[in-house]
Amino acid sequence: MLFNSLEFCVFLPVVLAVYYSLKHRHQNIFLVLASCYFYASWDWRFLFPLLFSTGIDYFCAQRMAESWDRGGPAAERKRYLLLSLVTNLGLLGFFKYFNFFAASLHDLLSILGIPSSLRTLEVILPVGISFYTFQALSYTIDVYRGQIHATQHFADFFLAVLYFPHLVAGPIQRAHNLIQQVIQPRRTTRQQIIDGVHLIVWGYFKKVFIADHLSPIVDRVFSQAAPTGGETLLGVYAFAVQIYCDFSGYTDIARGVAKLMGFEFMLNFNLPYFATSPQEFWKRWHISLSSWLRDYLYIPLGGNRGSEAQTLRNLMLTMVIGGFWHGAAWNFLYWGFYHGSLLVAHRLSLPFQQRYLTFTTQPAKALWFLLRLVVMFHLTCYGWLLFRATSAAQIAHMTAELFRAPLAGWDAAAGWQVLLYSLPLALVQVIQYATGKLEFLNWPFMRAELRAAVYAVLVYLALVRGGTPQSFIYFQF
Amino acid sequence: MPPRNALLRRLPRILSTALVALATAELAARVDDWLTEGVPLTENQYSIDRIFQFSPDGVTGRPGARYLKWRLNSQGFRGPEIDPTRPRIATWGASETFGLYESPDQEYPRQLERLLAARCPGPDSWQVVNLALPGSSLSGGLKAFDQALAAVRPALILIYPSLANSALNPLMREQAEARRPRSAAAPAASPPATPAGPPWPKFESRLAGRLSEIAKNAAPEWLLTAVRQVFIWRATRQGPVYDRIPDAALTRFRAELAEVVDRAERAGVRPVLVTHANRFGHQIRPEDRPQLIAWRRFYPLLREEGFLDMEKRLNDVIRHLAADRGLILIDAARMIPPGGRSFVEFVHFTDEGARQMAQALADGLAAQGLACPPPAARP
Repeated sequence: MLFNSLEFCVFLPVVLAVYYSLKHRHQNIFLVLASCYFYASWDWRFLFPLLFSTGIDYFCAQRMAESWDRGGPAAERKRYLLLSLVTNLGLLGFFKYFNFFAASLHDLLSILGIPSSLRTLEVILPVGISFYTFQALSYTIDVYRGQIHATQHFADFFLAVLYFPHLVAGPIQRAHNLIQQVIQPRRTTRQQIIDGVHLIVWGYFKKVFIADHLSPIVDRVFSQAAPTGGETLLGVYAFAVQIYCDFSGYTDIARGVAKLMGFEFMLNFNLPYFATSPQEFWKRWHISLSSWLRDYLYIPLGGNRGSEAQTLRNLMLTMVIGGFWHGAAWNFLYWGFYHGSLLVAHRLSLPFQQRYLTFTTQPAKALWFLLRLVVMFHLTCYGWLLFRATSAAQIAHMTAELFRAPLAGWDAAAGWQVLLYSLPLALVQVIQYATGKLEFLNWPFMRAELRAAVYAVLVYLALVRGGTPQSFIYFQF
Repeated sequence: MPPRNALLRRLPRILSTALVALATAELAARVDDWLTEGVPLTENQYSIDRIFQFSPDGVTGRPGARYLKWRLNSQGFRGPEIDPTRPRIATWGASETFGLYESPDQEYPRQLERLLAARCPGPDSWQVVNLALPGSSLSGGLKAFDQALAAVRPALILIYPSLANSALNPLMREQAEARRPRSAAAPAASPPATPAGPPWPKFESRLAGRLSEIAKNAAPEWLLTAVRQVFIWRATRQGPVYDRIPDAALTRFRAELAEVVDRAERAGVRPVLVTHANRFGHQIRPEDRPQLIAWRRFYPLLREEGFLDMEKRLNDVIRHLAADRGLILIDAARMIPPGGRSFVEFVHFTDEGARQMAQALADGLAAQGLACPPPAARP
C-alpha cells in the first residue's frame, strides 16, 4: 500500500477515526494490527520474517533487562545481543545480500576459470527490511548498553518497530525516542494536526508533482546504453531533484501522519543541497540513517578517538557499509566509497582550509559560501550518477562523456522541464534557508488565508497535474 | 479538543480560509485550462458538450471547437480540414467512430486513411472524413445527415451505427414519457412562456469536474460496479425491464437503417454497412461482467444478458439489409477480436482496436476494388 495510492487514502482516515476513539493501551494494539495490515498489503508472506525478528528482539531485550536488573554478567547480555544481531542481520543478509554474494562469487570463479555451481535463490526482498532491521537493532543495542529500559508490553515494542508510517522507508527512529512516545499516553494537539497536514500536503506535492514528473526524464537517460555528456548531465540533475523529492516527500508524509496520531518523528532532511561540505551534507541528508551509522557503527569502530589514520579508516568503512545498506549492488558500494572518499578528503583538507581559506569580509565570505555550495552540489550529483547507474560500464561511459563534452546532446526542452518542476522546491527551500524555519509555509509573513491559497494550488497540482504514479525509490531498500 | 465556544469563535476564520482555498483551487483549474487548452477563464461550461451545438435539426459539431484531445475542423467534423481536391470516404456513427479513448489521431477513421494511403500512394488517395458524433443514434443522426453529405460530398459512406443508442434510446424515451405525469405529458394549448433564468450566468465548477474524474479513475472496479448497480436498481424501480429487446425495436432499427441507405444513395453516395463489434464476443467471460454492468448503466432497461442478444440480432438485421439491397458489407463484428486489447470498455476501441477496425475496413474496401478511389469518385 503506497502512500500515493487510493487504498492509503481510505486506510488512513479509517485508522485515524478508530485511533481517536480508543484509549491509549487499545490505541497501541490497534496500531500494531493496522500496521500489520498495511505491511501485509504488499505481500502477507513478508509478515513472517518481520514478526519473527521482532519477536526475537523482544525476547532478547527482556532477557537483557532481567540481567541488568539482577546485576548479571555482561557476557550474558552479550549473548542475547548476539542472538538479536545474528537474527536481524541474518535475515537481512539472506533476503537482501545472498544473491549478490552468490552471483559475485560465481563471476569471480568464472574469471579465475574455476567451474562453479553456485545458484541464486528465487527470493523476494521484503519491503523495508533494511529500515526495520536497523530500527529494531537500535532498540536491542540500547537495552544492551543500558541506555534504555526494555519495555514490558509486547504491543508497545511491536508498535515501535512496526508503526506503519516509518515501517517501510523510515525515518529510522531511535528506540529511546519512539519507545517513550509509545509508552506514554498521547494527546494530539491542534498544532500537531496543523503541522501534520502541512507536512502531508508538501510531501505529496514533492512526490507526485515534482519527483513523478522527473522520473521519466531520468529513466530515459539511464536506460540508454551510451548517453551523451549533455544527456548525462540532464539525467543527473533531474535525478538529484527526483530522489530528494521522492524520499523527503515520503518522509514528510510519514512525519505528518505520525503527528496526526500524536507521535513526533525525527527530522530526516534539513535542506541537504545547501550543504557546503561532505560532512555537512551527511548532517542534512537522511539524518536518521547517518546518525544511526554514527552511533552504532562509526563510534563503536573507534570514531575519531584513535589516530588520524584510524579515523579516516572508520569514516571510509562507515560510508561503504552505509552505501551497501542501500542495496546489494556494486554501484551502491561505489557510491559509499565515493562519499567516504569525499569525507576523507574534506577532513584532510581542513587544516589547509582553516589556514588559507578563512575570509573576513562579507562579500568574500558570501562568494566562498556560494562556491562551496555549487561545488558540493555537483559532487553530490556525481554521487547520484553512481547511485542510479545500472552498471560499471555505464558509470565509466557517463563519467567519460561528462569530462569529454558535458553539453553535447543537451536537450533544452527537457532541461526547461527539469527547471520548471524544480522551481517550487527551490523557492520554498531558499525561504526556509533564509528564515531558518523548516516548517513548511509556517513563515511569519504568511497569513492563514494566503497559506490556504498556496495549499489549494499545491493540492490541485498534485491531484490533477501529478506525474505518472511511481513507487517510492527507497522502498526497494 | 478545543472548547465549543472557542471553536465557534474561530468558525468565521475557518470558513473564510476554506473559502479562499476553494476559490484558489477553482482559479487554478481555470488557469490550467487557459494555459493548456486556451479556454477563457470566465467560460462556465467546460465539458465535451462545448464542441457540439444543439438545435431542433439535431446535434452537430461546433465548427473549430476543441476540448482536451478532441479537435473539430471548420465544418464541425473531427479531424483535419477537408481537402477539396481529394476523393472522400465518410465514416458515420456514434462515439465508437468519433473516437473517445484512442490517442489523438488514432481513432479508426484516421488510421483507415493512413492504411488506404499506404495501399494507394499518391495525391489521389482517399481522404476519410469523420462525420460521427458521440451519443448519436440512427434517428438522431438522420436529422443532420443530408446536410453533412452535402457539405462533404463523399463517394462512399461507411455506416457503423451504435446499436444500443439506436435500439434502446427510443425505448428509454418511451418509458420516460410513460412515467411523466399526464398533465406534463399533455401537449400545451399555447406555447409555454420561456422560464425566466437567473440574472447571472450559470456557474459550473471546473474543479468539481476534475475531482469527480479523478475519483472515478482512481476508484477500484468493484466500487464502480457497485455504484453502477445502485444506479441501475434506482433507474429500474419503475417501469419494465427487458430480457431482450422487443421485435418492434428490430423493425424500427431496420427501417431507420434503410432510410440512411436511401438518403445516402439519393445523394449519390455509395453506402457501406459495417456490423457492430463489442468487447464480449459471443459469451460473457466472468472478468468482463463489470464492463457489461458499465454498459447497462447507460441503458438500465435491458438486462445484461440482453445486450449480447441485441448485438447479435441487430447485426443480423444489418447483414440481411446489405444482402437484400446488394450493399457492401464489412462484418467487423466477426473480425475484431473481443477482449480488453481491442476495447477499453464495452464498445469503445483502444488504439489497437481502432487499428484492427481500420484494417478490417481497408481490407473490406480493397476486396471490392476500392482501396484506391475509382475515377468517378474524384471531385
